[in-house]
Amino acid sequence: MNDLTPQKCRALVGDQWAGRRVAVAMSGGVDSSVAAVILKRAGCDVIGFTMKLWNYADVGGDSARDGRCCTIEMFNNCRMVAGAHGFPHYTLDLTGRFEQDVIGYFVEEYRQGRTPNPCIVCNSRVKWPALWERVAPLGCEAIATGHYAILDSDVDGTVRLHRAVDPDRDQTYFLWQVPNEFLRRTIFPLGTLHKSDVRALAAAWNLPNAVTPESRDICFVADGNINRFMADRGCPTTPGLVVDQSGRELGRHAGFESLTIGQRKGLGIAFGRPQYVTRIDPKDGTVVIGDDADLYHSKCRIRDANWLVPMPESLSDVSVKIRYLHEAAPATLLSLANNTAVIEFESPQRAITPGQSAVAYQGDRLLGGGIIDSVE
Amino acid sequence: MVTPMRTIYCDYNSTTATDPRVIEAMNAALAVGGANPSSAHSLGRRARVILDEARQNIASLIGAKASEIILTGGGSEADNLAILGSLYSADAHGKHCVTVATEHHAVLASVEWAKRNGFDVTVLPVDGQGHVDMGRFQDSLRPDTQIVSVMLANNEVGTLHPISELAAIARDRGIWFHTDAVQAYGKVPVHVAQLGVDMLSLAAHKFYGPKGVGVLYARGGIRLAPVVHGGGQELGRRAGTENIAGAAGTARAMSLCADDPGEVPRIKGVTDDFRRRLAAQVGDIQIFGDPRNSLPNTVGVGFAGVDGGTLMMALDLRGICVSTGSACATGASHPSHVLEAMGIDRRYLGGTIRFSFGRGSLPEDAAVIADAVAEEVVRLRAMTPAAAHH
Repeated sequence: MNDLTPQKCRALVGDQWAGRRVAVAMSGGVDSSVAAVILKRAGCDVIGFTMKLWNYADVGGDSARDGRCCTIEMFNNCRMVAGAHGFPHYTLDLTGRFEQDVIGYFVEEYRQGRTPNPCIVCNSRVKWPALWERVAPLGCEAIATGHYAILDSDVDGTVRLHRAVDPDRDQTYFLWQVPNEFLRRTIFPLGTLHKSDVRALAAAWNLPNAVTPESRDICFVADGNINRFMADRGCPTTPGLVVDQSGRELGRHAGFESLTIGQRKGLGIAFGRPQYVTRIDPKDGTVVIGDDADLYHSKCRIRDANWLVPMPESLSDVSVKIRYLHEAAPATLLSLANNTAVIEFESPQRAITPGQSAVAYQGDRLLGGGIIDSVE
Repeated sequence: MVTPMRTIYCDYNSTTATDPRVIEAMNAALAVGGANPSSAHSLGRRARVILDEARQNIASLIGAKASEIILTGGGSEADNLAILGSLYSADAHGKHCVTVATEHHAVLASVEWAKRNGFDVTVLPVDGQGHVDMGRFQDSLRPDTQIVSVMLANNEVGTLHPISELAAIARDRGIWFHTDAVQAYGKVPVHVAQLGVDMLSLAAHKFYGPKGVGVLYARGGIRLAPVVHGGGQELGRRAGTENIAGAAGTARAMSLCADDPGEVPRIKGVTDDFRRRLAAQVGDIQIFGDPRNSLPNTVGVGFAGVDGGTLMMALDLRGICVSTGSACATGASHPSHVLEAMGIDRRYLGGTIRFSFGRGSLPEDAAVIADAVAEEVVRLRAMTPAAAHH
C-alpha cells in the first residue's frame, strides 16, 4: 500500500467526522502516527496529543531500549509527524493520574496474588477519561487512537466493536473496559488495515517511526523485570510454602508477589520434571504447583464486568479470550448479573489466571468482559 | 472557532525571533570571519577583528570594558559561571552564597549544586509582589559570604529588584554581587556602573539576538574559576573557539535596542492597554507582581477556575502564542516556583498565563488578545466544574 486517497482515508475514519475537530492520542509509535495522518487526509481538524504517563527516573529500568512509550525519541516522533503534516501537537502530563490509577493498581494486584493487566486499566481509567477531560474544552468532538479495532455506532448510539481484520494485531481485548460513552466518540482508523499496510503507509509518508520495533511488554517496567519493579516500589515479598496438588509441602519460596499462574521457573526449587504454578493463596502465601495437566480448567467467575450491549441472563455460542495471546475458545456465559458472570468453556483452558481479563465475542463482535476472579 | 488571520506572538520573555538586521550582521561575520580568531595568521587576524569589535560594542553598551566581557554559550552558562566561578575562585574568602527564591533555575540549580558540593546557601523569601525584604537581605550576609546573586527583573511576573541598593550593601562588606539581567536588557536600563554590580548576565536571544550566545560581565579584578575547561579563550575564563557570528549578532542586537529608545514606551503602551482590558473584561483574576515596579512588557496572570495548560492550548488554536508561567523544557505542568514563593493563592496557581509583548506587537494586539482570553475563560469556566481544578 503506497498511498491512500483522501476518499479512502475518509472511509477509514467515517464520513461524519470530516471537518470536525478530533484529538489523536499519539504515542510516537508507527500506528498512532499513521492514524493521525489518515485523519488529517480525511479532512479532520486534527490535534495530536501525547500523554506523558510516567518518568523513567521514577520507574527505574533501562531507558536506552528503543521502541517504547514516553521516551524522548517517542515525543520527538510525535512532534515531527505533526509538524510535517501540518497539525498542532501538545504533550499532556498525566503522570500523577497514571501513578495512582495504573501503577497503584498494578502493584496491588500482584500483592493480592493476581496477575494485573495494566493496559486495560490504563485505557479505561486514564487514556479515555483523562484525555477527554483535557480535549473536550478545546472543542474536540472525538478521540482517535492507533488501536487495531473496528468501531461503528448505530443511530441509537449503540456501539459495535469488532475485531480488526489483521488477526495478529487485533486489540479489542484491551478495550472491553472503555465505557460506551467514550466509545461513541472514538475513531479507530486502522481497524481494517493490516500492520504491513500501516508500515508501508508510514514509509510512503516519510514518517520517522516507520521501522520502530514492536514491544508487547509492560511499558513502565522498562527492563521487563517485575520483581525489580515491585522491590523498587517498596512492595514486601511474602515468603511461604510450596505445596503440591494434594497439599504436601515441597519447600519454601521467597515471595509470591509477581508470580503468575502457569509460570514454570522462578520458585528456586528443582523438581526433576516440569512443574507449574497452578494457584496462589495470598492469605498465607502458599503457592500450589502441579503438572501441565493441572493447569486446565473449564469454568471461571468474572467480576467488574462491562458489557457493550444489553445482555440476557445467559448466552451460549460465544467465544472467550482469557489473555491477550490466547485464542478465543467456545464458551457459554451464565448467571449474568451485577457485573459478574460465570464462564463455562466447552473444553478446559490452560492457565486461567485471576486478575487477567476474560473477554467475550459473538463472532467478531466484542460483547464485553470482566476480571477473572476465581477458577473452578 | 475562527481561523486566525495572523499568528500573534505574545511570548517574548521565552525568546525573541532573531532580527533580520542581526542575521545580516551574523552572515557578514560568517562570510569573513571563517578562521580561528586565536590564529596568528592573516585570516585569523581578520576573524579576531570582528570578535574584538563585537566585544568592544557589547562592553560599551552596558558601560563596561572589553576585558570585562566573557562570551558564553548562553544566559544559563553565564549564571553558572558567575556563581560557581566565584565560589571556586582562587580569591574566594568564604563558602557562603545568597540568592532569592524567585530566581531563574539557572541560578537556583547552580546554588543547589554548590550546596551538594559543600557550599553554604541562603535562599531569601519574597513578599506577595516578589520583593525581597531589605532587612532580611542585610541579615543574610555573613563574614564568609562570597557571592550574592539577585536577578534584575523576574521573567515570570516582571518584578524589578532594587539592584543598585542591594549591590551597594554587598559592596560595603566586600561581597561579590551578581545580577541575572537576562530578562532586563532592552526593556529597562542596564548599565553596570549605575547598578554597581560586580557581575551581570545577558542572553542574546531575549533581545532579538541569536540563541546560544550569553554574556557575562565580570568587573576587572574579579577572578573567576572557569566552568568550561580547555583552551585559554576569554582570558582563561571560558574555553572554546569563539562564536564569532554569535558575538557579532549579539553586539548588533544590543545596538539596535539602544538606537531605538522609543520602542520600550511603545511596547509599554500596548502592555498597559492589555492589562487594563484584561482587568476590565475578565473577572476573578490576579495580575501578579508589582505594576509600579515591573518590566514594561510582562503581564503574569492567574485565572481562577481555569487550567492554565488548557487556556494556553485554546489560545494557541486561535493563533495566539503565550506560555503558562514560564516556558519550561518539557511543557509539563508544575506549579511555578516563583508564584509559590510569592505565596499566590492556590485558586490562581493552576491557571497561570504569562503574556509578554515585544517588537512585533501591534497596538491592536492588546484588544485582540484580551477579547480572545475573555471569551475562552468564560467558555472554559462554563465547561469545567471549579472543583475539578487542583
